[in-house]
Amino acid sequence: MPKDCRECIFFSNNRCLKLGINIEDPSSPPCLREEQGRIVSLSLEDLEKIVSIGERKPSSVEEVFAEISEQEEVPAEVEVEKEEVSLEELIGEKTEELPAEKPPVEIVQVASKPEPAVEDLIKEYNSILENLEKNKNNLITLEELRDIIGDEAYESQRRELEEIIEEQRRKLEELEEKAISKGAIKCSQCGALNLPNSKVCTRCGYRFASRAERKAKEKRKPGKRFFFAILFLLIGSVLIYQGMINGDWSYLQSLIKIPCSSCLKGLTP
Amino acid sequence: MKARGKIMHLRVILAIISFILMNLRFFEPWIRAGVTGISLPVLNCFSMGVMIVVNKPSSTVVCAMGALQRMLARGQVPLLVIGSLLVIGAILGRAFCGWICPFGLIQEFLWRIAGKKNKIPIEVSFLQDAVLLVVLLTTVLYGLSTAGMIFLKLPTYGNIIDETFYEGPFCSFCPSATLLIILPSRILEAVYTGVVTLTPWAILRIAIVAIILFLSLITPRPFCRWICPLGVLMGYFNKVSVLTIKRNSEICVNCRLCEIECPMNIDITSYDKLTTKRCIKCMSCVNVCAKKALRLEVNK
Repeated sequence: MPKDCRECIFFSNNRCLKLGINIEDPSSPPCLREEQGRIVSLSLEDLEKIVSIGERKPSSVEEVFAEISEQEEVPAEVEVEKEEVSLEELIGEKTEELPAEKPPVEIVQVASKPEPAVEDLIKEYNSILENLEKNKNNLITLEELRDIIGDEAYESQRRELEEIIEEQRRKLEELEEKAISKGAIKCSQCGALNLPNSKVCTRCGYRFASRAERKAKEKRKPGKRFFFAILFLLIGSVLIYQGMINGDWSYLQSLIKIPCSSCLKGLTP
Repeated sequence: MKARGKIMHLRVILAIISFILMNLRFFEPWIRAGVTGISLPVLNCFSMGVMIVVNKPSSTVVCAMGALQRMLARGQVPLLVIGSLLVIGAILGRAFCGWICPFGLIQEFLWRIAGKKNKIPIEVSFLQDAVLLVVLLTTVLYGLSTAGMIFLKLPTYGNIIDETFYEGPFCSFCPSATLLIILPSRILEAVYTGVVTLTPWAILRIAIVAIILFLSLITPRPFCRWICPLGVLMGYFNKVSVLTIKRNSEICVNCRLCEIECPMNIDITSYDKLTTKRCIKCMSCVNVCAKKALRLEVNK
């Protein structure tokens, strides 16, 4: 965890690329706070708040914290109101509001929902990706515990995990197709999806090539450089031959037989 | 020997062998060596050895920059020198700077023994281009004007201007010549006679070398990165040179070890092919990469 923005890979041009905000004082990173004399990183919720504010491009870190404190005040009131409602009442309301005849109406509502935004798709994709990696690690741990838990338990749990992994892979493929069609960028290093026009991967920090660089790469014709190298070789050979005919060779030989006055300038008065 | 140090040792050995071969006439009492007249893109002055032991040059090859200036100042087109640079550049690009040039290696050696610090990560590539342009323009204009005067049977400059400067404007300041000719000769003079004769120009040249060597302790190869006109000239060939260092972005994990090791301060992870004019193909990045993501390949 870097203690200074300048040590962080997301810091560029006095701006945090991860949070999308301007940094006025890089020595006090906005993603860290002091707690009982120790420096700890902000919670995920606080970071999300900064990101949501950062998307509206505030002018300074102070402005971000002012907005965070405003946001924190509102949910506090809501929570007080919620506490007044008893649990029994809540359960009662839920059971009453879910009659058996309702489902057809709900299905119509789901069908008429707008297409999810690319940000939501990316968020879902990346969380599934993380779970998938955890499950893969679990599979390895299960293999190590095989002797302890016994073959039967191992087999059943392995099958269960493999099914989950397979399901997650299918879901990832679907989400990836949708998100990439909306301009999301897939990181070649860690596989995470990133917002269109991202400069660095939010998961691993990999720096993406800019659009101009990508276009230039696509346009580059193979063999062009090799052709120029051969051309230079040919021209060079012709020039060497021509130079030798002109007497350059003997002139250069005569140059190194006597001391050069320019090179030794200052050596003698 | 650590794997990391292998390339550096190889480069030092090759540079020493090349230096001996390039100055073989120094050992003439024991070895019979002739002059080859081959022009190489290295700052190995063709007056090397003068006033150190005997008053005659020990060089067997010609410094391309010196030859270019000398021929242009005579109003000649340096066909042989340009041809040699084209052939070497088309195959190796700027590799001579990394493997053969003695002055470049001295700077890099100082940087490495000082702990590979980089307190001045500034790149001023336009300065190198400007130095090259000024040097070539000065010699071309001087050469053309002299040739014109001779053609029109007018009196030449004579003592009006300092001709030794205009025949080689870069050579008059060349830090490699100062470090390897002027400084040793003055030291030997002091040892043998007890008296040192230092002209104002020699003091200026020694001061330039002292600044460069001091900067080498806090930033890698300052002269090669900011000033050397021969380096920038060869750097242009990196775009087409047959041998190029390529980076496999699929394997690379962006650990940036290569960037720390690079003596030319190149942001390697932002390139797929190191065709930048700063790359001297020293292979330090290839050697340090744990993932083997960097390789020397044929440029296609």
